[in-house]
Formats: sequence, structure tokens, C-alpha cells
Amino acid sequence: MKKALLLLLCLALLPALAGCGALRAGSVEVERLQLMQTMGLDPEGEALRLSLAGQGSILSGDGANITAASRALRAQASEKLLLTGHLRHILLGAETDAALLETALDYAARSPDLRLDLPVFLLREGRAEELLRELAAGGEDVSSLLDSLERQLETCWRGPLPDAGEILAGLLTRGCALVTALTPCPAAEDASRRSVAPAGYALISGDGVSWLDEGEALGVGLLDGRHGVCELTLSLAPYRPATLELEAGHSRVSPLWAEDGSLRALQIEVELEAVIREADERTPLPRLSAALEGAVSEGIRRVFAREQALGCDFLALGERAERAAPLRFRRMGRSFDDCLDALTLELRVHSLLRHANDLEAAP
Amino acid sequence: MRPASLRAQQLLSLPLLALLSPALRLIPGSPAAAAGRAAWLSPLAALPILLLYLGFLCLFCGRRGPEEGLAELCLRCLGQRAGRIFLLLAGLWLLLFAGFSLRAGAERCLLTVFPHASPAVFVLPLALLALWAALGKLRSVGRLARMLLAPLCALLLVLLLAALPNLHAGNLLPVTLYELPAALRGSPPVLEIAGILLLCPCFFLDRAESLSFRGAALSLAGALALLTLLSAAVLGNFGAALTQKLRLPFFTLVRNLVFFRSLERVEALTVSLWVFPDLVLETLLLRAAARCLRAAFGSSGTMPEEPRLSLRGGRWLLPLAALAAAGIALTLAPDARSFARWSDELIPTWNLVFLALFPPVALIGKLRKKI
Repeated sequence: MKKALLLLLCLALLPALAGCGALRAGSVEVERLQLMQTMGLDPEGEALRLSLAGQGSILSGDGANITAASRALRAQASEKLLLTGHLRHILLGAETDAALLETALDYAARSPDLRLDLPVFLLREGRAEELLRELAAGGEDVSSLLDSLERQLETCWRGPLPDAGEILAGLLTRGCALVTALTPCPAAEDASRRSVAPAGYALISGDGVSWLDEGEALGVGLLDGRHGVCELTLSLAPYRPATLELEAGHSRVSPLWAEDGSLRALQIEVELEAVIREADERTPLPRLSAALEGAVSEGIRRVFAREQALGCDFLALGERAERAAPLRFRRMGRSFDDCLDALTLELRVHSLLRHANDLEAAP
Repeated sequence: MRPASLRAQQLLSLPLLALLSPALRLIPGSPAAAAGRAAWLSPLAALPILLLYLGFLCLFCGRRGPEEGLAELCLRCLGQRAGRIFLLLAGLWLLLFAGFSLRAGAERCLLTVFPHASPAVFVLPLALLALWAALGKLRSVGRLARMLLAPLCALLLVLLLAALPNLHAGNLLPVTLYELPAALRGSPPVLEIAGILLLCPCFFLDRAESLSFRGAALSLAGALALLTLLSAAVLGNFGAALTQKLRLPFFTLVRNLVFFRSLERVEALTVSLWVFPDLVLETLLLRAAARCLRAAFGSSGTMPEEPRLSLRGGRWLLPLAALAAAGIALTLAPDARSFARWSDELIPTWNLVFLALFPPVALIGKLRKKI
């Protein structure tokens, strides 16, 4: 009896092996799906403009929010069904404000299709839709381009590559967040074609968007602890400019206390390890080290000054100071953001030039 | 008929596997709302209280007579009239909880993989499966739980390991003594789900080997250690502010995982595997509810293990309980807000009240010299 029932059950399941279409009327075969991998967003008056790029095509639509714009966009689509389950990047136009960013992140968090670890990029100039169309017109596969840019940023970039979840958490916790900035540029292979290049960070807060250049991005990376092997070119007159590969950088943040128990300063110690990539052989090593330390110090000082000016701890220095002295930090009685404005920075940078790539360096 | 014997390990596997179902709904989202960054310590903070409760259950159940489970023991402590009222209320509460758990399982599938489906698609098959399992031998369910517990815990550990690279220390540390009150504030969700699942197997002790406190305490500590790791992984990735805004933060984390830069989107597979804890939880609750109601309606002693389709000896209560649970699941919360209220406020509060009723029952039994 049991065997007969099992046989019947197996027979009943056989139709399921014929593919999705046999079971569900709404199912679509793979060749009728259009895989969209990049989402572009631009503000459009009170509404927004959504652009989806994938498999060589760009589709755009307007709407009060992303779902409405997506509906408008799907109405223009061909007979193919747009599949957004494998979106890989979100690209925001230069006019993006905190409200549009929150719309995008809210959509990413609610959508069963999207992941919260999607990298988010913000254009420093121009509209996302225009860039996507220009890239597609030049024969570029937008997703591949952004994919390779993402890989390049992960390995060679000076700072972290914040994803949607991290940005959302930053906005919820600190009221501000960093977004990787890109700038449109001519393609290296053909100047008539367009490409994109990294351009520091956009700092988004309730007050608007401000920009951090690449020098400040280095400061962000060293303080955050997430940076790839980045190259720094230093001017060292009268010698030829030198390029150093910054292989490792560790920073330690310690709070310094006033006699009344209040936080008076942050001491940041940075340890750098670099190798000489290109240099005038007459350049003395101490001069190279000093130039590297100077460039890094400047980046960190500038980014700290930006943090103080904005009154927003986007570098999470407060958390690091709290980890260094949790009990005293708790007894301080004020929040870190309240102290930030009056804090002084005591910065110590120490560098080690590990080797000169098989060429004798000057003493 | 001689009662089938359930080994102590199989009996313990039932609540441990069932715990995985509500744990991933409530933890660490609910503790994060109350405890902030310290929420990952909430399962550990709940351990001493749960050990005390476990000690009480072991002592209380140690006084049961032959062929007695927790329901019959309560009846003996409170007397026939008060005991039947108590068991009727307990049975109805367990039925409501079973209905809510059915709905919560369906909501998990809706929120993570099938947003356009109706809850009925998940509620009705699971209710039928749970009824089929509840009508069968308890030993079979115990064996199923024992077999599935290790693979599901191993899967959880693999997922947690994969989540490690994105962990931010600042989301979890520092931990000082000041974090202890916050961690305790976040412990009620852990207390209620672990407490209710420790209580349910006590209704079937007439069919099982006696529980040793040491064995149960070690299993409980292991389960809470796993929940601590899980909370640390989710909070370390998202931070407390984002975690408390997400309905199912663990499955959001799973959706983000990429293995070896090639394998991703494993959330559907993970969610589908969580049907097994749902099934065991439902079976456990249906049988416990039927056991309470049967005793409340005047049939005492062991519920006979008959062939599945037999409804003799009070077994008719099982299909009725499954039907009621499915009905509750489909009508309980018509919208997201009311479901969130049931999930975060009503069910946890009343579960804690339900758990708190048993020590006074034991005390009354002691005063009446019935135990």
C-alpha cells in the first residue's frame, strides 16, 4: 500500500519536471527575460527618473517613486520581461539629495529582488541616465564596466567601497554616510567614447551633499582600515616625482582626556608600509618617507577638519575612541558629536619603505 | 497499548529544532530594539533565568506519577475544577500560539521569497503536514528532529562563517559591565521562545525517558550560544539601528552572502529548509494543546498511539486543533502592522505570562499536599 502511494505521488510530481511554464501560467522562459544589472536614478522635479541598463539596452521611466517609475518603464519595454533580481549596481546622478538616496535605500531594503550589499555610486557631474546611454552608445556593457571598476576599487582604491546596507546604517546611526563618487571621463581606448573614473566620496547628510577628493579619500581609507594597495605620486623637487605603493596602513585612535574628565583631543597613530614603485635613484629614503608621511598626514587632517565642520562623525572615530577607553568614554556625560567641534587632533604618522623593487635605492 | 518510549535526546531535540523557527524571526531584531549594540549578548543574559526555569520544570515534573505528563500533573495540583479551567485556558493559548506560528512561517516565506503569494499557500500545507505528524508516533517526530538538528545547526554555522568578513567591530564592541542591563533588557524575546519550547516537551514525559537537568542545561546553553553567534553576525554586519528596522534581519544577511565570488542568492534554499523547524514546532504545539484540552475535557492518562486515521481516545482533538490553528493563522493579522504587534508585543507578553503561571501551580500543589 505504501509503495503504491509513493508511486502515485511520484507520478503526480512528473508534470513539475516539464519546466516552469507547465505549472504556472505567468512563468516565462529564459530567452524571453531581459536581465537588468544597473539601476540609475536621477531627481526629476518632485519625482524621479529610473533607468535600467542590461544586455546592451537602456530603459528609462519617470514616477513618484521607484516602483511607479518601474511600472512606467515596463510599459515601454518590448515583449521581453525585465528581470531585476540580479541588479549589481546603483548609480545616482549628481543632483541626488538625501531624500533620493533614502528612497533608493528604502527600496533596496524592502525589495525581495535587491541585496543590501549592492555598491552605490554617485556621479560628481551629470545625470545617471545620460551616462548610461552614452556608455551604451559607445558599445560599453555598463554592468561589466562598473563590475571591473568595482574590482579595481576593491583592490587599488584608497578607501572603503560603501554598499547600500552600510550607507543605510550610517544614515540611521550617524545621520550621514559616505558614497563612492565617480566622474564621467573619456575612455582610455578611444577619447570619443565615455567611461567613468573614481573621484573620492560624496558625503550625504540632511544638510545636502559635499564632496571629498582623492586626498581626503586616502584619509578615509586609513582611518577606516579598509584600503587596497594604492599608489601615491609625490613631488620631490629637485628630484623626479616618485611613486610609492602603499601596501598596508593601520591606524589607532586613542582619546585624550582633560582633567575634568572631558574629551579634549584624539590621538591618531598611523603605521604605513610602502614600496618604491618609481623614483629618482638619487632621492634619499628619509626624504621619501617624510614626503609619504606628509601626504598621509595632510589627507587625515583634511578629512578630520571636514568631519568637524559638518559636525557628523562619518569616520566613526567616536566608536573607535569608545572602544579604546569604554569606561571613561561612558563617564564623559556628553555625546561624541557634541565634543567633536572642540577636539584637537594629535597625529603621528610613521612609515616604513619595505623595498625598492629590485633596484638599489639611495641611502 | 504500551506507550512508545522517546529517548531523552530525541525529546530534547524537539524544542531545540523548534527553537530555530521563532528565533530567526525575533532575534536579533527585537533585542536590538531594546538593547541596542548589546543585543548580541541578550541570549547569554537570558541563560541564568532559563536555567532557573529549567530547574523548576525538572523538579516539578519529577513529582509526576506513572502515565502522567505536565497536564495531568497540573490537574492533580489544582484539583478537578480549577485544574480543568487552567488546562482549558492553557490549551486554547497553545492553539493560538500554534496558529500564530503557522502564520509566522508563512510570513517568512512571503517576505523573503514569494512576496505575491497568499499566506494560505503556506499555512494550509504546513497545517496538514503537522497534523499528519501529530497523528503519528511522537517517537517518529523525535527521530526527525534528532536527524535534522545537526545539519541545520551546521548550515547556520556555515552561513555565520560566511558573514564574518563583513563584520564591523564597532557594531559589537566595546562590551563592559555597563552593557549588562541593556543585554538583560533585550532578553525577554529569548526567554519567551526558549521557555515555551522547554515547557512543551514536559507534556509528553509520560512517553519519554526522564529528563536530566544536566543534559537539558547543556543543550540549552549550546542553543543560546548559537543564538549569540547568530546575533553577533547580524548585528556586526548591519549595526543595531538597521537591524531593528528589518523584519527578518537574518534572512536579509543570508541574501547578501556570496560564496567564493560565485555562489549567491541562497536565501530561498535557506528559507525552504526552515520549513522543518516550523513543522516540528507546529507538531509540538498541536500535540501539547490537544493534550491540555483532552485533560480539560475529562480524559486523563496517556493519549493512545493508534493508527494515524484512528480518532479514538481523544485523538479527535488533533484534527480539530489543526483546523483551529489554520483558521487562526489565516484570520489573525490582516495587515503588516497588526502582524508586527502580534509578533513583537502580544505573543511574547502572553507567552511570558503563560510561563509564569506554572510555578504558582506547583506551589498550590505543594500547599494542597498533592505533590
